[in-house]
Amino acid sequence: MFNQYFGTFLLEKKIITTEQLRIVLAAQGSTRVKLGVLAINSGYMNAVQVNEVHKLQATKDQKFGQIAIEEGYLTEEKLDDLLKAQNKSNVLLGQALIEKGYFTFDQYEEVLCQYNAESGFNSDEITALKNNDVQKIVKKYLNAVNKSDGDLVHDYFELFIRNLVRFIDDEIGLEEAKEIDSYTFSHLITQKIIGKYNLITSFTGSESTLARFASIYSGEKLCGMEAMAKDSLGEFLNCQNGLFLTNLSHRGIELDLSPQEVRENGTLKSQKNMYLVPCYLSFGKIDFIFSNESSIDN
Amino acid sequence: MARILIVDDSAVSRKKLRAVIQSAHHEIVGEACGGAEASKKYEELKPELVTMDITMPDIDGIAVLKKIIEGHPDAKVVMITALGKADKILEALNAGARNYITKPYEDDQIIRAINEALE
Repeated sequence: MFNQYFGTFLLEKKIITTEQLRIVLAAQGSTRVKLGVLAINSGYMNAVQVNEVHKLQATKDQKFGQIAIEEGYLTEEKLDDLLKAQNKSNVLLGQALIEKGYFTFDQYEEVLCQYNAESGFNSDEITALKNNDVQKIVKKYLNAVNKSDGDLVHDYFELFIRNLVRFIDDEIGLEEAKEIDSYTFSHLITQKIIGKYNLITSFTGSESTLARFASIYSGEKLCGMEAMAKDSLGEFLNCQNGLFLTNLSHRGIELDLSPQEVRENGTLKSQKNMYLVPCYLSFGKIDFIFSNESSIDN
Repeated sequence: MARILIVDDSAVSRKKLRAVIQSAHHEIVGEACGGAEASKKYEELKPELVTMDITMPDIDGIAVLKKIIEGHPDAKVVMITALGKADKILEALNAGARNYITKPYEDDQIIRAINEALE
């Protein structure tokens, strides 16, 4: 996550150009440090064990390290070592900037100091970004959400971000949640969670961003908002919400889901407690919107 | 090789399931994207096994399961859904579902569940 914020900062301050950022993001994408690779490198796990954990990851909402511990491949201590090493992946953007000759080491150090001073994040928050600590980051950005709804919404949004990272893009940036009373959209992917607690979950974005999102999720080449793209976006939200309700069910809270929908050209309206959280992916922005009650005008 | 009907409102999910099931050398005899269509196609095609989604726009997959089992007590239905809630799992298994798989799934899981249901 740090790279997304740091990259945006470099652009805003006109320290690098959009083209330069595009090139370095592409370069760092090919050198991402994976926990499994680190585990093999360190001799803590063999390739068969790593493959096994990856297989299990596809069926469980759990992190690599948690599964590796459950399977007896790693101890807590060894996992800590690996996580510390993996966290250095936040240097990949800097590494790529230097390798591409855009910065010297000195310039890079200077820009990092400038970022620490001007980004608006305190040192704890910068550490959370560098560590991809979704729980802390979500807490910061959902600060504005009504406290009575806070816990469930925080849990929901944490899972949403983890699923974005897991299925769509691991470089995510967020803006603070803000309360809104209406939102006009061209395409809105939406699904209601119903029962003792109601939550209307939706996301939207530009046609090109949504098409790219849908392509990544479905594994199909999709150019616009064709039927398969809408289906893929709806299925992503349905899986997210299904996992959320499954987690709640383990805590003894049973809620239901209405079928997911993709709505076009309308305005989402709510009297109270409707929130917007802008989420920046490496290929565009999506707006995540949630509320307890809202209606759509077409 | 068994004759299988896929029921899921998502075209992306149906496509993925089709590929997985065909890789295990079973035949897809039909697909339905809603509950009403599923009931109709079950009667028409008499498949040996059905994979059934739950959350669908017209009729809930568990209601369709109950209808199929009512008319055909030996029907083999495997639930494949994003909804892994305890109450739904119990309701489906009590209604006669042979297995219950939650999305996202591993391909092997689907093949194993189908083959077990067919035994």
